[in-house]
Amino acid sequence: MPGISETAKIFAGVDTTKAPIPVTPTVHYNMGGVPTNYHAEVVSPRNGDLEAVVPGLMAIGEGACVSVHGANRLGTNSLLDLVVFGRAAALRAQSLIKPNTPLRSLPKGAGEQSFARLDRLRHAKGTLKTSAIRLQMQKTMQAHCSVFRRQDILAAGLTKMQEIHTSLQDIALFDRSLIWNSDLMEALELENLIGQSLVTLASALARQESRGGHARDDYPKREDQKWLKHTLDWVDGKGEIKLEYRPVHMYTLTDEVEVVPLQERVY
Amino acid sequence: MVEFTLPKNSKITKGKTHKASSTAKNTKIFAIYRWDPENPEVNPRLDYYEIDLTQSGTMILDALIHIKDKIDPTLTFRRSCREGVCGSCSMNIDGTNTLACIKPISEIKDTVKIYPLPHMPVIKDLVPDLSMAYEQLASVEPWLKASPSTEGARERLQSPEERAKLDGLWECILCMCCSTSCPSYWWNGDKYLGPATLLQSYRWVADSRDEHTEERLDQLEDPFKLYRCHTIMNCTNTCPKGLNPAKAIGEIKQKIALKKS
Repeated sequence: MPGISETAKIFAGVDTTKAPIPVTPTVHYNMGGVPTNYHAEVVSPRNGDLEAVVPGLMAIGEGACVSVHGANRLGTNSLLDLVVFGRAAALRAQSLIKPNTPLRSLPKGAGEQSFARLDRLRHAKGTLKTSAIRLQMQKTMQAHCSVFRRQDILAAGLTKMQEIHTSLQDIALFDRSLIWNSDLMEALELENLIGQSLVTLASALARQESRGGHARDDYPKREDQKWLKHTLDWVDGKGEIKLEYRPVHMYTLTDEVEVVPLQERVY
Repeated sequence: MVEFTLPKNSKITKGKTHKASSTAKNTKIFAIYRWDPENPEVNPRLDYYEIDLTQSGTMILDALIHIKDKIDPTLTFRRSCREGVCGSCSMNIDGTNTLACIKPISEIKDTVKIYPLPHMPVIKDLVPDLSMAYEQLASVEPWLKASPSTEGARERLQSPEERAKLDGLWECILCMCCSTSCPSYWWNGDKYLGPATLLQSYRWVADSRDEHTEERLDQLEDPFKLYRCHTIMNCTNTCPKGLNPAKAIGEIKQKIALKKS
């Protein structure tokens, strides 16, 4: 593979004909995302309706989770996100929005929360640089939520990540400008990533089985009886996490094909 | 002799110096262009960062990230893939336009001087405003233009020979290193399309599936859009992906000449 040997030469200084390439696991993709139906409309269970749509809110791409990939993310699955659900989202938006409909008036103070978040960070004068907190988050996720997982390691990781979430209170920014402020952008991204890390750890800790990309050393078997369900996570500003579950659709949208029966994945 | 100097507000002053810790043994100094758009009356400056190379990765981008993370979070630059495929971190390093992520620090002797891509308006520090270059790219309609397939929803087939004509063209990542290294583009950047856009245009001229070759060539036949290329070859010299925009421009000129004969 000429591409791989070139990459190894450039970035690791390794000649693949003479030495092995150093390899380490890293994040390629975040499985899961904002739950949507196949029209790309966001769903959030409400009053017992497990498929309740959040009106006007849509999600596509890596940010979304249409749940067509099971608990795994295989090569070229992004094409499905792009080509199929990108198109579906456009078609749905077209059918939902009537031309020339006036915008609804915004509630009083709309946007103030967003401005408050922006300004709180932009003027943050704590003692920890964004990069320092980010490194803690990265090290914690690598050590506690990596490829093979275990109850005690995940639980310790969740505790650590809660502490890291708390340490955001002590963040320090240095760029106070409003033009191309990448210091601010990195801090906003860090807040998002810590929320993401919290729910990833909490869901992985709760799911006592192995399925797709979630490999538990202490629960190596897939348990369809108990765990054939989607995890739903909520995380609030205090880092408090709420977990719920939603059933997996075991039907197709047509009578032309049968639903693919469950079977264990073996290698 | 006439002496050309920069306008007063463009003269670069000496900025801050950040020293490495006294225990650091393997250090290198990075002199980096800084400009703050919120204080536009203040001239741009060069800030000097002495960094401990044992604490940084091997590439220039690693050093920039090290500076932003550990020394000065206000340093502003574009970056994304850090492996030479996205084209975000193009800048002028040691006098040459290239991608910071695939330029090894070890290739540069003495102080590493880093400036934004030359002759572009600067938004902030190492971030140039490329909106005009992107508008020019859009003007050549860089997508497949062909009538809907008559055989229904089928692939548009290409022979291996036809496909091979796109090699050396599709690899362009639009980092704009070439266009911003071109004196013709510096001088007539508002009218001359520049090597990056012309290479992209030729990528569709050369595509056997595209049905608008004639229109594309007609659109390019213009004293400024195309013929400001005077084969200076800076574009080909500087391309961090090893492509040859000058050759693509030559091919366009040849196709136009052949069309007339």
